[in-house]
Amino acid sequence: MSPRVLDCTEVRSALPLYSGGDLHPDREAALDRHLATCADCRAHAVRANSAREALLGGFARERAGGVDLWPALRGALIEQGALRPGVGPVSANRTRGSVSRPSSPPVRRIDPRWRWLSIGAAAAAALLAGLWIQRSVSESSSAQLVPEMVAQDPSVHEPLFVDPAAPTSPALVVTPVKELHGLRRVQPGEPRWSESADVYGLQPAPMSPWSSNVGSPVSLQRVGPGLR
Amino acid sequence: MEHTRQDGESPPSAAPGEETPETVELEELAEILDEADDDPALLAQRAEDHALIRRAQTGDEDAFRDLVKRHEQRAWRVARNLVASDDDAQELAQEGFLRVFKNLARFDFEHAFTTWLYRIVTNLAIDHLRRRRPAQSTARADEDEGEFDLPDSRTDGPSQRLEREDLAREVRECLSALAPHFQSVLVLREMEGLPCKEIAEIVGATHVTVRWRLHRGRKLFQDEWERRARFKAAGGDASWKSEAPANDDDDAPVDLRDENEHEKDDEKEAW
Repeated sequence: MSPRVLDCTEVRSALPLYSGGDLHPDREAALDRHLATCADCRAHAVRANSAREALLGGFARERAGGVDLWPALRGALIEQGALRPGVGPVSANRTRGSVSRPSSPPVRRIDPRWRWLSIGAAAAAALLAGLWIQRSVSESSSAQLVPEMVAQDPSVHEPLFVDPAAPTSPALVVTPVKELHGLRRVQPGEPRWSESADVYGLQPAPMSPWSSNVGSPVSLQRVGPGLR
Repeated sequence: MEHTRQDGESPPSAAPGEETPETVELEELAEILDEADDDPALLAQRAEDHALIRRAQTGDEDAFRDLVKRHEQRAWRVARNLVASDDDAQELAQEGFLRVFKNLARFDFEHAFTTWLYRIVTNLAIDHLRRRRPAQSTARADEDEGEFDLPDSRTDGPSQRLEREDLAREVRECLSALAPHFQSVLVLREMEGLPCKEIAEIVGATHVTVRWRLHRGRKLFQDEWERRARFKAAGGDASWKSEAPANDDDDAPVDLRDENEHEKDDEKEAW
């Protein structure tokens, strides 16, 4: 099927869209073919193009000095009650007709998430501090008190009990300690473990190295590397 | 195919069945498709706009400020090419963003923010033109001209700049002689480079109607431009000898909204 041939009336009618490249490609090709052979229509096309070029050349593109709408816009939003100075939007749906609120000093709101985070951080810091203090006390007691006792009692160097199943260090060593500050030293031959542990078939638990006269007679002292 | 009756707009009258250049043109126009608007850069910009809107909807002032900053130049430019002064354009652009803020919660994320913004600002500008138009026919159109940058004006010398300012003034006068609905389509298509499909969304008309207005607007602009050139060549001062061509009637049934409809603008701005 041969392409449609346009007459001059059709071509001139289509020139406004042709000048802007807004015609269907088939239609544009038909105009091109006609314009290639028709000087009168070409003159019309030149006039249409000139007018369009003038239009494009005369448009405003940018304002000299730029455009900065935000300061005035923000002021208008505050005036209409849509924004509070220093805080933020009141509501995107409340602008026109809203009563302006009396200006008040800016209030810095704390995000609830930050509030809980700060409480958590304080609790964690307190916990860490407590642990550090406890460890310091524990280390100081084992590091200061025990050598002092050991130095006063030469028997401490003789382990009374060494677990045969764990002959190597760290060893759980039952160490007799002497009586001190109203506490008495566990004597050889006294039961080493509390009776309740035997009754219930429980594994013996280390007892305090210091026992009262009515308490458990056993004292255990952990020795060995890595436990100081 | 019946394309000419949509929105009540019709080309110059023709007897039923009679084929005029206009009706042939419209049949051709109906087959024209705009370029697909799937440009990755445009899609990315659209996504960024939507992200800012979502943040602004939750009360994030910085997000709304960023949205304004991203598009204030665009809003001003559209307004400036439709109204006669920088101050009017600034006022319209600002009012446009106020309306954006007011209706932000009802924004339809199926659309591009720019389409919505163009729609608001264009409607404001058209209303502005309609209010001021009767007075302009008796006043010099350049009385309240502002100062704005034309293409390449920052690299021009003084004489070139003057020439360009003269050109801009004459173009503005020719444009102002056209009915507002022609002006808006010309600005959106020629200046902003929008496809007719998007312009149809912005001006609330059909695709074919927009094509018709573009065709007719270019022709009317050319007629006015040439008429002024002839008058100037004959020694007249074309700048205030403005006789607006009778172009309202060509499109009047479509775009001349009733006064009552202006009160519904706020509702139209949310979609």
